[in-house]
Amino acid sequence: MVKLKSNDDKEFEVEEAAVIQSEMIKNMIEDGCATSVIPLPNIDSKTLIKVIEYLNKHINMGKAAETGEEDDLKEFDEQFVNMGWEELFDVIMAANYLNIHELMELCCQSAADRLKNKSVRAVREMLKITNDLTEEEEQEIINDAPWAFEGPEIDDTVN
Amino acid sequence: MTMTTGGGDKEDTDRVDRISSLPIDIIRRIHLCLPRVDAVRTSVLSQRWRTIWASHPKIYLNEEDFGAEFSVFRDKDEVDFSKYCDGEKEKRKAFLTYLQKSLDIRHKYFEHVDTFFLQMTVENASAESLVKKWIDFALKKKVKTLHISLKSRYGKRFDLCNIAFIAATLVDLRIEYCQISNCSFILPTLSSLCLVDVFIEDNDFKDLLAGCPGIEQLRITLYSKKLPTMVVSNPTLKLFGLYYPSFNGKVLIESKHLESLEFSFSRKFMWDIEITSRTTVRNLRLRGVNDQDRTLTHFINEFPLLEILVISDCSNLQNLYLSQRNLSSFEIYQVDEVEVRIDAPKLKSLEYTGGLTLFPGIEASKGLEFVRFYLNPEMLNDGWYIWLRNILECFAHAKHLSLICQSEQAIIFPDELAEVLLPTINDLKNLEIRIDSFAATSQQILDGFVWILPGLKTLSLTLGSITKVIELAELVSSSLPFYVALEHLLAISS
Repeated sequence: MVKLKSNDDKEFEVEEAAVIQSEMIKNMIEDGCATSVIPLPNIDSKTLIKVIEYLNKHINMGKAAETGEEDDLKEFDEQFVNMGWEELFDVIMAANYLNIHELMELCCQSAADRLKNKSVRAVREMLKITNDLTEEEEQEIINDAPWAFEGPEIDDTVN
Repeated sequence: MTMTTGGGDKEDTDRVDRISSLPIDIIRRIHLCLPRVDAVRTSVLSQRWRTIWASHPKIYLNEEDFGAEFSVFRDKDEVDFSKYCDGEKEKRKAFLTYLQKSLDIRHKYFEHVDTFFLQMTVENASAESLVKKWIDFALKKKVKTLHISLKSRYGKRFDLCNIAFIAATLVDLRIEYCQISNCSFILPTLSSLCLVDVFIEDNDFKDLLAGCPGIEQLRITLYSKKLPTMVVSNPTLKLFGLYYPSFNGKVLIESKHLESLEFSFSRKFMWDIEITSRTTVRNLRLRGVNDQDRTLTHFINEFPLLEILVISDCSNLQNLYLSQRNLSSFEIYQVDEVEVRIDAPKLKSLEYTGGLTLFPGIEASKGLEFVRFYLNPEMLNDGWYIWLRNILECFAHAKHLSLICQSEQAIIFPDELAEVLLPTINDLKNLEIRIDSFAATSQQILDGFVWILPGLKTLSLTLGSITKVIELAELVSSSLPFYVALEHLLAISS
């Protein structure tokens, strides 16, 4: 078992087989730097719980492929990324810090899927991006590539 | 799921732009998962987002992302833009502006290029000039991986003439459907070169190889008649592969450290293959070799120190005799009924699919660990089951024997054959069976199959996606399947 400590001082025990999906922790264990508790100053307990949930489910990835449990895993993944943007960014940052490749891919793909076919207004609204372009600049960008801004598939809703 | 919705421009106290404060690498990663059109649309979100869409060090420029059909293997007469309808012309224009805009942005703001992938049809001089600018840009910006797949109009090859492929960083180069003429090559770090359906004359080919002094892997998929004799002598070369040449020809490999050879032929064509350094070759993969048996056997055994051998789709083959003292892995796929004699004391793993091939002498390979048979019978007749029984017998000594079948009929022995199939095989202890689509229950499969293996201790049975490990002790104590079979047998003989 490996102990992880979140930045709000909560400790979690995780099986080694699960936690080594994190390249960063795997390296620490291999270098013998993981003797007691591993502090994770960038990750709060709420996010860490999500990450551990993912690690535990993906513990036997190779085995799942062999026994045909991929469907189950796929369903889990779909459910897993069903979270708000804030939470998703927290998990992305944690996955980036811990260097968990598959989790990173999953979350980035989910973020991209949510942005796909969305109108500029919808994306700004969803991501709370403040538009600091002047009207002229905005028009100039659109004129450069008008095909990117029109079409029946563009969706102006924010969910 | 909670999300702020609606609201227009009203003041929002918790309005924190999280995404823009993420590290740029993460934003780029999300960007890379987006369709290109959506990626371009983010350029108008805010000042910071204006250039992000064109900033990833991995560059993928593919006309297919803009609705063009490019697939070559779908149709021999490839799509060309002279046939494009109006809607597609718009897409074409969009792709070209995308190419131009992203190049402009990169020129201005971004230095680093890691991967450059370009797939498109180059239909006129302005597109050609743009393509050449891009290739030049990628080479100058220290690209490591360069893949270009270019066609000209009317399905013709795009001529990469007079391009200077000079880069001190390039490791991996793949060129598809082009013609290479009068190019210069100075690629000291290139390790892998792949040419797919490329027109190249002898002299240009020589120049190309001479410009890649460190090349380790060379793969050529050839349709062109313009290269009748291929001579490769780069001393660093470890892997040479030739796939689907569409004419007869000759290849001479003089590289001294060659480790791997891969050949795929379509049936009609014969190739004269000459390798000077046969004792260094460890891996040999042959596909579609249409040759006299003795020639193939002879060809393989000319490499005395093979460790991995893969043979597939050799339909005329009848006999194969392998004498390989270091051979560790042997895979043979899609052959007819062949007799394969293997003298390979170090053989560890064997995989097979095909006709009713026998493996006399395999018992002598004592160290066999993994044996996999993919059972996809074309016809289920008496011969099939007798063959299967023989296979079980001669591979009984393997540590892990697996049978993988599409349906359970391939392994359930018909009752009326029980007598012919005796005696039972007593020394097979462990077996794995995988059945993709099944109608029978595991008990029916056991009853129809396991009686012939009274010594079996564990059976790992996978039906569809569910795996059960059945301990043998249960079988022996109940002994049911065996007696059921015996009863059948008695009934038949009386």
